Amino acid sequence: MLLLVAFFSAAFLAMGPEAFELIYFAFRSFIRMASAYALSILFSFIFGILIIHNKKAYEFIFPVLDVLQAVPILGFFPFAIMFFVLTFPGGMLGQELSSIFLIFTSMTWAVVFAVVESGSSITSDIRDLAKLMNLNGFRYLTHVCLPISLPQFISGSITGWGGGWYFLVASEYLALGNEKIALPGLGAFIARSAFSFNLLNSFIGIIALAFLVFAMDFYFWQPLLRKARAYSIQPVTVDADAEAENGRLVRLLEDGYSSFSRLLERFQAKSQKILDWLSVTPWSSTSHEAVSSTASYVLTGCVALAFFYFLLFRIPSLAEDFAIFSFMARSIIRILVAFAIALFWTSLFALFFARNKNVMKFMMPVFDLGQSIPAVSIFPVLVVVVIQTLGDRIGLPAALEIASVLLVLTGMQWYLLFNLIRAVQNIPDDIMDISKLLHMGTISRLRHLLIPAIMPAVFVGALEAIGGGWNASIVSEFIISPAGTPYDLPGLGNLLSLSSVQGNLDGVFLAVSCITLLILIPNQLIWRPLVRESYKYKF
Amino acid sequence: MELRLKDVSKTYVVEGKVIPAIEDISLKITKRESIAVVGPSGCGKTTLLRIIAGLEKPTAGGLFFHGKPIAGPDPRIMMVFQNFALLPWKSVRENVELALITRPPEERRNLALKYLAAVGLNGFEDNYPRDLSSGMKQRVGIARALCREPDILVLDEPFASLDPLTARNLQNEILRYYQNRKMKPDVFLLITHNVQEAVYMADRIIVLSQRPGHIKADLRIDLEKPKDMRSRKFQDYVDEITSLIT
Repeated sequence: MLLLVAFFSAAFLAMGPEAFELIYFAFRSFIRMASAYALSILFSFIFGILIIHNKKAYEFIFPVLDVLQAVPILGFFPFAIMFFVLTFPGGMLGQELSSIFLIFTSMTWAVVFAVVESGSSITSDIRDLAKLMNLNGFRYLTHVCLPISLPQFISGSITGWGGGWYFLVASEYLALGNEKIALPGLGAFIARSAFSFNLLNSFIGIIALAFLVFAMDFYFWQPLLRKARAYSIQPVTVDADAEAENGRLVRLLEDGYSSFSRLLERFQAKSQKILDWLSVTPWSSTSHEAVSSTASYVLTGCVALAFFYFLLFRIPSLAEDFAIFSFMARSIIRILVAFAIALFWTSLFALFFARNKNVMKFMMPVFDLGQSIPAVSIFPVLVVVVIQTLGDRIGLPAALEIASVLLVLTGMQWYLLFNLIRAVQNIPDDIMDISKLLHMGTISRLRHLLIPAIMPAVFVGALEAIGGGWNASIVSEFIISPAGTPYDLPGLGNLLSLSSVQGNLDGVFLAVSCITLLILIPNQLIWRPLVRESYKYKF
Repeated sequence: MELRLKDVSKTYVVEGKVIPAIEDISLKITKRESIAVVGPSGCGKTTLLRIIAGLEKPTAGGLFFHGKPIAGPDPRIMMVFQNFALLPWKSVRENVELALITRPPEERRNLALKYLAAVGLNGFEDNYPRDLSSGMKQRVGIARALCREPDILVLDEPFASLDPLTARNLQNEILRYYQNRKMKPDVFLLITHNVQEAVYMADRIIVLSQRPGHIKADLRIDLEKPKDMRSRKFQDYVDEITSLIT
């Protein structure tokens, strides 16, 4: 609180009365995020629970969600504009709704896949119990399905919010030719400050964002996480301090939940028919570790068709000299380099520090914040330090590449880091004891124990990180120079951002389909099989 | 009280292969009695129990309860789980109330408290399962089953997750409870792989063969109560049944 006051007075000194605007911006952004989150909750539970229980939903809806999650946020932008801005022309409402929609698209996938994952917690015992107790209709939802998903749902929500903050800039400050979104909000403030190289203002913007992120984490997510851990089906040792009394917020949510279940209880008879028809019953829950492959191959094929259509018939100039392939190659190399860097430092950190409580206590909030800082906000620093300073020595193109890789890193490394930390922390204590009893040295401990133990997390993290990296490439390949024009940095992300600014829809669709393909194909052919293979090594 | 199983068989299909679990099981339970089903591991004991509880349908044959076929879980048949199956987000009382979900709140609460007291858990109503020892968790599981006042209570290896001392205590309490002839259930059907436990708990023992399980013996335990585990007769029963299984 004291820090907040200090920060605010400093901001006031630096910016004058504009500082009040900042509070207003933060408020507006928060409302937008919260609305998008409310949508995400609704969306995630409806489709998540359907996918867990309904075979058709699993076969058809799940693959569609999987493809959609691979679509970069700018790919949704034309639809948002078409749908919301054109339905509510002129006013703020259309812009506001499209912005919420875009935040939703960067937030919801983590939540919906978390809910789907929670299906694996519905053990055969729980299923039998629900059958014996004749829990069906809404009763099955309120007493079994919703509470059981809480642990995964909360951690998915935290990731989702992180993604939302990261793309807040893009969701509040966007242009498609003449159609613009420029809304009063923290993201737009950060973007404007960054693009006009106002270092002070973008710094103030980031700190304001940091306050929001920390406050949410401290007052909202941490208490909920503690609560969720107690809901876990697997026996967990609850820490002594986690047993501490529930905060006011958690109690409020609990009361809200029980009135919600009482409300649903009134529709029990009707809901039973509907949910039976949708086959959302205790008889039909199954755990899905992977997307069914047939439908996802078909969908990938459709994306490929779209890609070739736009390439050959709409923008054939990009097919000549294989320009598009050189874009692809350049983007892929940047992402791979960033991935290598990310894997290197995150695995070192996880292997050596993840079980060190003191280090983690200090570093975790820092990482959470790092995940939430939008890449755009470090533009000015990057441009000034890397491009102008380093650029004089190694030449502008090389400096640009370095800057771009660093930006991709900001959207990529956290997925790997969080997965790896969790994996190292989840190694059972007795396994660690064995390594002590056997007098294993550091090297053999790494070789026989730690590295095999984190492999599943490496693959899952890679899958998420590379998706995140592609999304970040939109920003990272579109660096604005102090003159206000973007640097020349050929790549797919660059193509996408440029086309979007110029209002070239064909270019947008081409780049989006291409990026989506480049996410989907390795997912299906490399990462998913590796993840499945590595499940053998799960504890 | 009448439960009849007529030529009940169950086969599973695992990766294209048909695996028979139990075969031609016929059984008649007509009076108040305590029954134990024993057999080597993998002989289909649990399958048999799940069929009786209505959780699975037999592939052939039929089940009749009071003359009517059983199709799905019946409120008059309740089950106790090996690993308790308590919901971690519900307090002890709420876990028991779950079995009474269709009743009005007031009645639900009173019945739950009554049966929690019956299993010796008064004072723990508002605790959560994670606060309890495994013996107490199983008591909650038993209270949850009893509060429906079922005719038949099936117990799937209810003592296997407990330490020997806790298990013995709970067994004695269940026997004491069951001796009160006015109380439900009329029949308790215990699945176990522990022969001593079966002889101690049951008046009638059904021995299943290796997979596919069929009834190898159906015998009556004729011992004076309370049973003395060290008596010669008790040991003879244990030896006889053990030799049937191995």
